[in-house]
Amino acid sequence: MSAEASPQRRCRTSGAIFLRSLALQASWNPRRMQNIGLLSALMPWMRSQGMGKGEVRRFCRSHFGYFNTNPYLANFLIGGLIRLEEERRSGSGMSPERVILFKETLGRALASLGDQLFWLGLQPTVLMIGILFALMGKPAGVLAPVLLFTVGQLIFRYRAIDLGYRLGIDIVDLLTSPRWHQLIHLLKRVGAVLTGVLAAWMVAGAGRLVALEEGRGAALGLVLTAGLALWARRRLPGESMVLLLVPLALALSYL
Amino acid sequence: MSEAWWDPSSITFWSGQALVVVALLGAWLSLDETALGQTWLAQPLPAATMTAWLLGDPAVGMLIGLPFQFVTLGNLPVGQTFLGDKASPVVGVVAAAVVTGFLEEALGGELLQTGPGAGRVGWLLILVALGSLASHSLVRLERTWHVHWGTRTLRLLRPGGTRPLDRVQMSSLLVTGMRGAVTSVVMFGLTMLIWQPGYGDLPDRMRLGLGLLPWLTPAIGLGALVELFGSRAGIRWLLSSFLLTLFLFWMVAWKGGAT
Repeated sequence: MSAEASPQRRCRTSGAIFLRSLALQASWNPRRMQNIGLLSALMPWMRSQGMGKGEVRRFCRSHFGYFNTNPYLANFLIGGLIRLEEERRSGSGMSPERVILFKETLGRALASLGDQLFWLGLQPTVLMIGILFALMGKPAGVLAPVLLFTVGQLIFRYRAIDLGYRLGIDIVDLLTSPRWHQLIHLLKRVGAVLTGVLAAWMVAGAGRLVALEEGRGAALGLVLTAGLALWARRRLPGESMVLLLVPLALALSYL
Repeated sequence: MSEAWWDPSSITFWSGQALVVVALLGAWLSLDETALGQTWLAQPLPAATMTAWLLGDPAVGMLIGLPFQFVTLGNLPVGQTFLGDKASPVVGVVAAAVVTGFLEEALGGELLQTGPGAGRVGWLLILVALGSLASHSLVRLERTWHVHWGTRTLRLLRPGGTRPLDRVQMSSLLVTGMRGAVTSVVMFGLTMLIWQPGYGDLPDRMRLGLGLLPWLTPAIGLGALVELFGSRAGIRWLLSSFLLTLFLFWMVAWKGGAT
């Protein structure tokens, strides 16, 4: 990755880092979280530097500690970390403590941003689009948004390594850009609109059911179940919710 | 006893071929859930649709995947970890339903329906949920193993080599993939040989209740979504789209009635 390396070599190293970064959580563990995944992603760069055994040992030890961030945004950090490590090796005044501080602080910031952007914004939105296509009976429509997300996130993650490397410590400025928050707001609005559409779809379906004699229990069940979901406040796993619904469904079958 | 609990006659050459698809898909999607890529193809609805499509009947996948997707919509890895492996039970159960034609009665109508066909969907939904919950312990075991491997790797890195790191990553990926493949195959066999034939022995009341189960699941998803997007800023958008869609439905129904 170093600036003096040939473009071909840089591209090869960057490709290898990208592929390894996809397995950031392969060895996820409750004690140090993604530490092994991070070290593994940094390995191609480390090997390209021709480090001696003592330096490799020191490098591995310094990055073996606790590390946790959002996997989709992690490559910004990986690119930035490589830049800082290169600056440290060239003796330009970058201390090992500063590198670790950068890793920890940026890791936390990216984790928080990634939670809002990917887990609480994009994922429910993409899945709701798939659900709407499923309700229309279109299997291709179910897979299309997920496949689009897949391609998009892979390109994004590949480019993030290079951008993180170019920005180095200035990556903090990128994170303070209002665009991230505008995107999160937009996703939340799209999510709210899609939730409204889905709710109306279900209410219309329930309306049709109530007209039938046997559908009254189902319509009442829908209201009771929504109350149960709001009470659970996303704390209970969905699997347990299914099992909780069994006695309710049985009771409703008597109506 | 209308059907036997153990039904070896359901094993055919076709189910043997399907087993290979199940093992490969189970391995890939288990890896995709957290270990590799995280493309969201391992989410219940895409996983079920893809499995059923590969085996020839995507509608069966949507029948099981849609209600299970609704109940797991709120399981977001923010501030808490939802253990378990949703993908492999989904793959195994959906594949078995396609191969045996267990859900033929439920096909053709609306996806989330009540009635006799829906009872079968509800019955399989319980197995998917139980399968996912049962795999909690396997995932936990795997992660404990990662802690031990991590500690061992730190020791092995002392001489200054980097190979142990590659080995631990590769073996972690291999173990996750194997877990996914084995869980999917076990769920496939369990569904075909025991769970599906067992549906025939259920009392009528139970089948009637199970018929309501898929219909109730969207409310779980909607409850979670309203909690997620129904903030002070979001509620206006939510209510507006709700009323507009309802109006459109009413228009379509009214126009349909007029003609």
